[in-house]
Amino acid sequence: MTTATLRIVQKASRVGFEDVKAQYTWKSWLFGWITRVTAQVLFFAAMGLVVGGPEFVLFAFVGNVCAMAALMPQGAGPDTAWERGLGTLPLLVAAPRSMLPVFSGRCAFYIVQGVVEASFVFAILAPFVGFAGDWWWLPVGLLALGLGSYGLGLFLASISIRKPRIGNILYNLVFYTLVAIAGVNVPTDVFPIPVQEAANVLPMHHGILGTRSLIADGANIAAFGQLGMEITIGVGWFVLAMIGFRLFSEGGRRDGTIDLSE
Amino acid sequence: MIMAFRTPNYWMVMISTVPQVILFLSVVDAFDRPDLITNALMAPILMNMWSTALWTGGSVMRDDRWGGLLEIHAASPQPYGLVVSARVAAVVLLSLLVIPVTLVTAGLTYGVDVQVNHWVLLMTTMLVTALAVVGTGIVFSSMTILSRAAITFQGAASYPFLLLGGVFVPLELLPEWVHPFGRFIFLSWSSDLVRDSVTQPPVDNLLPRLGMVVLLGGLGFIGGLWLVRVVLDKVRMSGEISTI
Repeated sequence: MTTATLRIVQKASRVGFEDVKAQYTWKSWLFGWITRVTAQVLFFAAMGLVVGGPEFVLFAFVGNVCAMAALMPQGAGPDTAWERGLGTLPLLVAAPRSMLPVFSGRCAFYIVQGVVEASFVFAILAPFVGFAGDWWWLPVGLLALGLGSYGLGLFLASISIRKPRIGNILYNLVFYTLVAIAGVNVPTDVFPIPVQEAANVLPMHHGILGTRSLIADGANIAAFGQLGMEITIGVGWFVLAMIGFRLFSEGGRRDGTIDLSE
Repeated sequence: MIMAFRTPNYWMVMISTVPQVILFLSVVDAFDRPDLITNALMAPILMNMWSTALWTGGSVMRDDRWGGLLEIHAASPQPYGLVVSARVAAVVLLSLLVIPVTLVTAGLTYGVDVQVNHWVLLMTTMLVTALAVVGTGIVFSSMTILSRAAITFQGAASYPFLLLGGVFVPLELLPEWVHPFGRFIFLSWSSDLVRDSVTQPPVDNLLPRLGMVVLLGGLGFIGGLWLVRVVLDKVRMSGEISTI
């Protein structure tokens, strides 16, 4: 049972990886995508030139690098919803195995991609913004952020698979909301209490706090606690996503809408 | 125009404006810098006008190719550039909706009430900027036919241009060596003008600066029309008109 599930997850991840590979050539990745991501981090960090000074530049720099690691896994939503347009969904429903492991593996490569890309952008920009600290802890924090965000990404996928057209809208809305409130550019505590409470149960907030603490002070219990919290939140959203997929497939099988695109 | 309303990309940009406005205002508010509210409001407005042109406007030609309409346009005696321009222009016109969305969000969340010094100048700048954005949309539209990597480059054309276009941080505060690059992007002239029209008592060198937006926007427009023609000719020659 478990080995079969793991095999499905592994195969699905392979499909996801091949998908990403087909999407880019190394040139379009480096000059297209990486240029854009680097510019995005710079754009927000540069706000420090008018507000808050060099301290803000560094704060926003680290925050936005963290956000980049979360950006890719959250994109699992729109990509999974494509599956419906591609016509593979009826096959997945008809297969004797549950489709849940397929969806959990499908976009898992985005976690790796997020960690690698965010670390790469960090390495490019760190000398220019005058970063000094334990940079080697960064990938650890980014990995926790990726895992946390992947749970939410899959949850969004379980919603947008019902309405693939809203996939991108939902993803952008959620991502920018998290960038605003999760402590990327300004600490979360500048917001009213209800907003802080929301940030508390969403990914990114704890992951960013943990990552900031790790690279500033080195290994410490509190930081690992935050990263643990980030992963726990991710698992929570992952469970909700699995429930969502289950409800979708059973509902669709019952009323015969699974093959209809909206 | 109706097609744009039905495009999820269009609504994607409109809806993500709300958290973006909050993002910029929270920064300005956290550091207690009410003098920068104009920057905080203008950034999401220009960012999203640009993105709408890039995504919804930029996919006009690709949509035609997918829909099998490109062949008909290629056969038609009317220049295709005209059709593309009108459609991109309609999209850009709709993207102006981002202005009320931004102002309402700012009013509801941070109670921002903007006092503008030069309304006429602000309106003129926005109008001229919108026209210049049309040129950009046409350029990107034609590029989507040229290369499959265009989606990646469509994505790449956002933040680098917004950074050099000075939509939040004025270009003059960025390092000296990037100034010449930024000045080739009409956004850098537009964003300076918008800021000045709200905050400065008299605005210096008004006409030449507006002229630069018109000039750079016009160059983009002409370049875009030329590209549409060249690209269409190219795929007609190579027989790739309906390859996806």
